[in-house]
Amino acid sequence: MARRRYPLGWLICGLWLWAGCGHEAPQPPALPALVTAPPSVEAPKPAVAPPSNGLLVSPSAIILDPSDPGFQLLASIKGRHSGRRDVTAAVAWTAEPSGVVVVDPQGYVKSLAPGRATLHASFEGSKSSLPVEVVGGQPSWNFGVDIVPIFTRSGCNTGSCHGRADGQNGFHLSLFGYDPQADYQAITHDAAGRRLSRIDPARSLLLQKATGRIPHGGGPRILPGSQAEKTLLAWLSSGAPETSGKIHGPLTALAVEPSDVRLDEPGPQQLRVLAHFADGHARDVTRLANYRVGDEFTLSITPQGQAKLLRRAEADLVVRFLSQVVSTRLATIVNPDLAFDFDKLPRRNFIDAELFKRLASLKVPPSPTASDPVFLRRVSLDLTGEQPQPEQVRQFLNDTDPDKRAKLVDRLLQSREFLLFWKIKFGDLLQISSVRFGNGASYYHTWLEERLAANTPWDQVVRTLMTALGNPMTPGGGPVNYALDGVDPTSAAEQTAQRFLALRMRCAQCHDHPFDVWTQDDYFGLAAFFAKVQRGAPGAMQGRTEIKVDPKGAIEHLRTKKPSIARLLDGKPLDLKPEDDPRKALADWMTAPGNPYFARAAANWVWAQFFGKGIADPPDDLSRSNPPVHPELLDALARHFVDHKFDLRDLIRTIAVSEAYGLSSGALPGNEKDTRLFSHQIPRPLTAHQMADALAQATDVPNRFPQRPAGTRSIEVADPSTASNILETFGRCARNVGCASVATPPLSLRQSLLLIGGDVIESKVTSLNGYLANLLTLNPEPDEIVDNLYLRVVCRFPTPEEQSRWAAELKQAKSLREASEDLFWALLNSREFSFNH
Amino acid sequence: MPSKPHASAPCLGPSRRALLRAGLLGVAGLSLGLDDLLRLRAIAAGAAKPAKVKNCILVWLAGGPSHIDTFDPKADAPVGVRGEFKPIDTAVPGLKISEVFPKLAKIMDRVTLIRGVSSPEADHDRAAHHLLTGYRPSPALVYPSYGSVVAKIRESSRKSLPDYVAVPDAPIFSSSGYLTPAYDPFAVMGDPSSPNFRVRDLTPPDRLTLDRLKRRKEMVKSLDGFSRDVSETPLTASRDQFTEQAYALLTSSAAQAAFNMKNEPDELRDRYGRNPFGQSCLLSRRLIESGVSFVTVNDRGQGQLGWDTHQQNFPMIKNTLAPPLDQGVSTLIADLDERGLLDTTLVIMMGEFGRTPTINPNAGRDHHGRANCALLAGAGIPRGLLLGRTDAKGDSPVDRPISPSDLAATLYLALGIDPEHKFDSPDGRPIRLVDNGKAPQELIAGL
Repeated sequence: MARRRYPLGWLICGLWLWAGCGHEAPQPPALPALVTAPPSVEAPKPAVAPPSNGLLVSPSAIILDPSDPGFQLLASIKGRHSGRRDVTAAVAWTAEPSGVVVVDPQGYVKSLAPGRATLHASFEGSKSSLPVEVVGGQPSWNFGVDIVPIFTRSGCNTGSCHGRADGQNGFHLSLFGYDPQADYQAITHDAAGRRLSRIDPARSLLLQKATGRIPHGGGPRILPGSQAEKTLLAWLSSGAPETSGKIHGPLTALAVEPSDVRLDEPGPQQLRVLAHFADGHARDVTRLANYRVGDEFTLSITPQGQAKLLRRAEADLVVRFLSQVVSTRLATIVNPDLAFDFDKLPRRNFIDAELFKRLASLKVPPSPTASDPVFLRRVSLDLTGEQPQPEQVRQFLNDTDPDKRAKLVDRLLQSREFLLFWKIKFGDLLQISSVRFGNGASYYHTWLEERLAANTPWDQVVRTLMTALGNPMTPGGGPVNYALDGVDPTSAAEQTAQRFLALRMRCAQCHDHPFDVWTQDDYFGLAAFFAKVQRGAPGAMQGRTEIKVDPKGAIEHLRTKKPSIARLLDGKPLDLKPEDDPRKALADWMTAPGNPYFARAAANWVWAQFFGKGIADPPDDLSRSNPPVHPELLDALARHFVDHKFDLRDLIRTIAVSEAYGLSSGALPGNEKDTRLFSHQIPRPLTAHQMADALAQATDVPNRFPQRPAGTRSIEVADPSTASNILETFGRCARNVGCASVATPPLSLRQSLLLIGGDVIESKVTSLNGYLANLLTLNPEPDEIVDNLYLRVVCRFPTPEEQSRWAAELKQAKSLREASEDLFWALLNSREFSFNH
Repeated sequence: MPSKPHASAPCLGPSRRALLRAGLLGVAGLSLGLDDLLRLRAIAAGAAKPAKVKNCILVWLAGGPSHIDTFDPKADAPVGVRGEFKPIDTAVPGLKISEVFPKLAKIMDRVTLIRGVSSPEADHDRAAHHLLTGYRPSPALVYPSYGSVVAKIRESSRKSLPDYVAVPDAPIFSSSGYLTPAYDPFAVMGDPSSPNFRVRDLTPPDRLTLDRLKRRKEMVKSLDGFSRDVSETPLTASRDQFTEQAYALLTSSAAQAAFNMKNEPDELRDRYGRNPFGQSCLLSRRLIESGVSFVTVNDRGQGQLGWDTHQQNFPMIKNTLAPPLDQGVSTLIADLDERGLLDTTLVIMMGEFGRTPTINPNAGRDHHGRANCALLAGAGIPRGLLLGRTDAKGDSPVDRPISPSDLAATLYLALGIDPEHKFDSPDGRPIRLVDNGKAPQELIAGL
């Protein structure tokens, strides 16, 4: 049997390998047959010579097992541009001789009787054919694989039907089928077995209700005459076994074809979903899988797996079958008629190479490089939270060194401001606040700043956080606070997974994750690593909360009610002794260079700090259902991070010096609608700390913070428990219920009121000790005032047009002081100032 | 029912200035009566308000209140389900609600109670999105909240007060979603029950004359016209809109007076309850009177998600959560009714989900999206109606579940807005205000 299925294995993927089959999800390791497939261009060998429209049919042969529901054919022709056009539903399919298989108009092959036949495809004069074989014999049965997906697909086991905790009308199925054993029990034995009729299987309550032949609260879920009904009936007729015959073993991988397809024009694309089993068998589950579209305005999908791209764009589609999740991407060229020389674009490092390659393939032009003053202001704000001083602007503009941008980045990275500002970013990630940690927060902050100053590799930082023991309220106890953050093993596990691996595990607490691969066993396996952390007695005095390892600590699995055993997310076995701190083993696994999540999560997070959004966005969600926009770019960044031994500062530098980061925020024809691909920067409102310090610095009037010395800058105020109207109004993260991964402040009327109506700007502009008052004592000419105010506020010289306009206005003013104050005020309220662009 | 655009004549300079003079007097100590304020507001707007503009107060019970312990008691259920509270009679014969709401019980003849509101979402954020926008959360798009939709539809009416206000702050997903942040709620912040309550930054510094403020505004406009480096995006446009709104607010003392709780008689303040929630309800009425279209009163209890009673459900509800709500909302509905405002003001009260029938080991109840309640009143919603029911354990709706999109359709229709109206998403595709929702006929028959 295995040998006969073998050819199917390599034929399946053949056609699509050239299209970049499966580059984005890690390929399953258990499929050697697929890897040895010949290059796809050679795969289909139709009897007639390839026709001019380039009709390609896949696969090149089909062998259907008695248990296989059918097989989806795919047909496409060459497009006018570089992509292909799916014609699966337009092809005339015939089978010869008849009686073995039948092909429906969507190109789905169903078996009728054992035998061999030839399938013919005909489309606009082009022809292709392939052999098909229906293997005879008794079907094998595996309840969890053959029957449960029918329930999932029909919505029987959702939370609002039989999947809810206490079932529906006494019939309980596990949510999304995560517990097939219990489901089998419920169907065959609960309710005294009355759901099945062994004498007359067709009259089984299960089937009668599901098809709505007898009244069913949930209505008819399975169409009479459908394949699902046939499968259920066949299973019932075989005695409703849990397993029988020679089964294919557990599901090992899921693949969707085509993977990452480039269409010629918006339009349909038939998909095929293949489930690969432990014995090497591949089964078409296109009509059993569940589909989810992220952007429903760009892509639609039918239950038969016919996707449709609705416009010139790209969109991702997530496919789930049992506990496996994969995604595929459909795209067209965005601007087919664009004339743009992508080869001429400067490429400073691998980021640019990856980004521009992608933009070129979609024909979306990147904006030109931002001007010097714009770049200086942007990178200063992003690296240090501060605007450049007028003197720095002058120097940078006069500097003729072609490498001056990279040198600027290096200089900023050496500054104390960089440490302070990025301490706030990491503090948001770790939620450091004295409201959460009491006195421990200051030790935690100090430790974090020292790590940043020493540029401690990220893997070491995380390992220390995850495994620290001792007293969090003492000078050496900074990282111990991390253990206080999760109040119990499950929240500690969720938090660790989300912060450092960008995995959202929460759904898996109660059931297998509906749109990721995580199972409830994974969840409790992860929680068990934190079960031995002892956080002191409840109500213990502050300062005496010693974090210790309790060898007896355990966490009960919600389903099995047994103590959970620590289990890595990749399922690799562990050898833990009872006295070990299991967190060490988890930290070792997480921070190992080969870990598929750790480096990607950090790289994505750092990227988001420079662009306002992650390559996968939100940045703390790298689940299978949230595919990154540029998988190759994210992989390359992660690889670079690993290769450089998790050197954070190097990663930051690499992004900051890239051409990609330095692009203008002004759009070009062809990229003006793009907010996805990073073809240009997008103006980001100043963050709370940036805004507060920029106001103070431009006016020479510092902000005041309670119990902090005069002149304290806001980037020195990391703990959100220090009250500050301006920081709160501009959206400082309160660090109480989680922060967005990027501190992008939501704009609000309140901010405008503060800037316009409040005393904040007015008092700074008119302060007798402020910049303007001092400048005016020097009796400056109006044009000097204009120059200086522009330099201070928007960090550039005025254009001649701006200069003449404002100088004239100042000259004519009755009061030069009042007019200068008004210009200063107006600049601080300008759009240019309030955005990092 | 088609949407009703609210055309109004453009602002007339002199009347605005007259208003400002009057307002400045008010600040100086002469307090204006409400009627004066309303009249002044009408003068400022340059036109009388169209006859039947309907506004909305949404009372949001953040965290998800237990339906069984509030509006959907299950006296006959097993003890592990029915909990500690007894049902009491209400002003509607045969209708019983939990004993924790004695005052609300007395005004049930003025409202519609919906049982069996049902959503598949049982996570705070996702369910809040569903209930506050009418759409289930989508990874591609955050949908705009009801208040944001109303604000966008009414924006042409040019008022000095924002169209959409949150008191004291905004629940999650009460935001503008795929619309621009310009339609986010204006969060008042602070505690309206505090004697020192004032909205920050609402009055320009004394030394700043209005002439100068106007000159500065012109300068900002020119500056923004010059700077070509910053491309126009939805975010930059939103900021411009906020700036406009801020100028309007700062130059309207009538608008500012709306926030002044001291203009309210002590006796009435007492009736609402001298606590943050009660006074928030009172402020919401003042704002509606002053021309705000949509006010969200966020009842957070004492934390972010006060009604999230996973532990100690019963003492929390009985001692902390229910009393201010009972007093505040019953007074709000009665007060609106007495003023004749209930006919033009839709009051809707709900939380993101109900809570599990089964009481958990911590004497709490957990999230439960399938069964939830909503209270609706005013704007033509029937008085004394009970709609829908849940099963014996309060687990699921029997006969007709009311979905959040059904509620959305009802809300829009009650406000005179066509649920079929479409807005464009950021990349230009039209999206219906309500998808797959149908207002129950009983609710809208009287509109």
